[in-house]
Amino acid sequence: MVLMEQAKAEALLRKNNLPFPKTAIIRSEKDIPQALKKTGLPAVFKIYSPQIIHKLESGTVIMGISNIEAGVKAYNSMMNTVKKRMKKTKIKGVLCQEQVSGTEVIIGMKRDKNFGPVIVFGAGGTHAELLKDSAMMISPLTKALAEELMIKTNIGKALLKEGSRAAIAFSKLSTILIKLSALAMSSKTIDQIDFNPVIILGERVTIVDAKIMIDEKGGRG
Amino acid sequence: MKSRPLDPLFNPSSIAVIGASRRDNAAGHGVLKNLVTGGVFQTYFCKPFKGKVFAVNPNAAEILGVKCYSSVLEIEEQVNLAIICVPAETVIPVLKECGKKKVKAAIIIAAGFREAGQKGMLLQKKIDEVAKQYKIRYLGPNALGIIRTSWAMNASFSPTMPRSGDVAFVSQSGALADSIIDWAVSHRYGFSAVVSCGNQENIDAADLIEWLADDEETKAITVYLEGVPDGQKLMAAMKAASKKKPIIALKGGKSAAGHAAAQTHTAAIATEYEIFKAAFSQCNTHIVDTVEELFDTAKALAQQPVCAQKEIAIITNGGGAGVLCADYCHELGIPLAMIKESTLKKIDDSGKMHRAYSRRNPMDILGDALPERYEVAVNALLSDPGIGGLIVIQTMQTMTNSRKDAEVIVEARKRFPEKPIICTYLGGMLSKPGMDVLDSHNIPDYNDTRKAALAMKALIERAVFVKRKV
Repeated sequence: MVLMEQAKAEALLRKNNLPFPKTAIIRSEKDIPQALKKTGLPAVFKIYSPQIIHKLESGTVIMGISNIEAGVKAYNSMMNTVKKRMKKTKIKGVLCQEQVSGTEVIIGMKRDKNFGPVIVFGAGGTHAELLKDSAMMISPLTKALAEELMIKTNIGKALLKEGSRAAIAFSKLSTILIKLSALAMSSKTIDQIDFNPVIILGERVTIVDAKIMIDEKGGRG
Repeated sequence: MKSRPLDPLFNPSSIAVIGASRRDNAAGHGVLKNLVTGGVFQTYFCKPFKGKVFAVNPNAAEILGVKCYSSVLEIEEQVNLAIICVPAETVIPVLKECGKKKVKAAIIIAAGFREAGQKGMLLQKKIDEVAKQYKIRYLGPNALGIIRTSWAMNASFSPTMPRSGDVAFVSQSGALADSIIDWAVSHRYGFSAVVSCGNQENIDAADLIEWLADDEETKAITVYLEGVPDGQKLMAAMKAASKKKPIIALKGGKSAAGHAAAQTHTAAIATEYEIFKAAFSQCNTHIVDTVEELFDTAKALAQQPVCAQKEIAIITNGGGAGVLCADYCHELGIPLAMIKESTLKKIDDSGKMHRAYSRRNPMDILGDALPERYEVAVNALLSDPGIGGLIVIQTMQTMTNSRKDAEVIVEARKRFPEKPIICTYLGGMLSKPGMDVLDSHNIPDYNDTRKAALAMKALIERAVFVKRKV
């Protein structure tokens, strides 16, 4: 099992019209102004390496970058971290993303040996599994099933009570769930997907982090 | 109804026991004895099989009064079902002979196939070739067999035959089914069919559920599963069957070994058991946690109408029992109805109620309640359109008339056929006359208020399943 490269994962999301934050890749210090211009402020920097799966756990994410100077400082500090602590890790640069904040949910997929693609929805974030507020369903998902899935969780119920803008977000989330289900059904090699966190602010929904695990053998359709 | 491939398994008119044995500790002896007498351990419910039984054993002239043939091919008459009791190594030639005899269904009792390494895997492959060639559907290997109470057919090596009833039980574990049959006999629990599906190589749980969905004798299907050969097929079968009758599932193997190392949050959340639960509930299948709950729930679902309105009421002649029951309802998310003023007035006006009765839900009609007080309360509450179902608790006091209290319920059952009634007759020997009346009228009665609340919850859930379109 290997982690799909960030660029490929992002391309896959864009191809499926899934809402991903504005992103730029910084390969050297001089890329920073251009990157921040593209993503807007504040931005978040993440070490860009196919070998780092849990980014926050490795201490390689810096948030709240609000000007070029802070960007340069953050970039250099990250490069230092890499030099000191992660000598064997292959680094492709730093990922610069617009920083989005709001309610965090997880949307995920796991290919099960008995039932095929399972779609998960729930309260998200770094410790999603500890929150124990998630539900799952077996693919394929219809709109009705996707909505039922969300309402099984407290965070889904809460969203529905938050008014018209959240209702729009709710509908967008159901679209992501259906697309994820369809994507998993049509793929032979994608074994697991984490969209975590997916951040909801008003009616806006953004997949802030996407982790896609590939089973190269792809034995199961 | 047109004939279906599994008909010869469930409703055969002739059965051959291949590998019938004189040794009374051999499976081939137990199976034959079960067919001929109903059960190795004789109980009130044991009866000889109503169809024909043939024995195959080349070294015996007769066993248990049944003439022995040296091969299934020598039997002059048609054979619908073959129970193959020979060791794993000789199953293949026997199955071939069954094929030549045009036997359409078989049960393979022996173990030692897929679960027994390379050699067993090879045997399994050959069995599948033969079954395919002769179009034989088979149960097992490593299966206990099948019991059909209405046919007095104990085509298994289970210890005895349970009472006939309206709940079917499909079990992946044969030994568990054996013990459940033993339990069912002493609790007078009735089954329409008990089937152990063993390794599920040819006939799997999905096939059995599909057949039972159209079985007129079965009103609820219970399933014990550990694994599944084809998850999507099982889901399709459950979804289709749930449109016709309730399905209740207990999944064994809940430990989440290996999940500590999950690479994604999703994989850490979606453990095997959680996935099974999601699949079941997606297919309108009730999920239970224990064997006892499996059959308690099935009884209510088989015997009561669904609880279409989820607000329910509790009637009790003991305050404590009512409080406990209300607590369990709260814990399980069952709302207690607000009792209408007009309903209370009806009860007041009857002149039968003690003036200190609780006038709310749970309705405590007090310890000295005679049957007429139950009657007033039961009828008034079931007439209230805001109440979907009723839990009736009886505690045993000096003046309690348990039998007559039960007769009140039986009458109410007839007057309000669209609303479920669940009873909790707390006690033992002294309440037995009432319990027997409830039992003989198919009114579920549990010895604990939590069980009654769980049963009501299943009836509320079933109402949701029936309406569900997805």
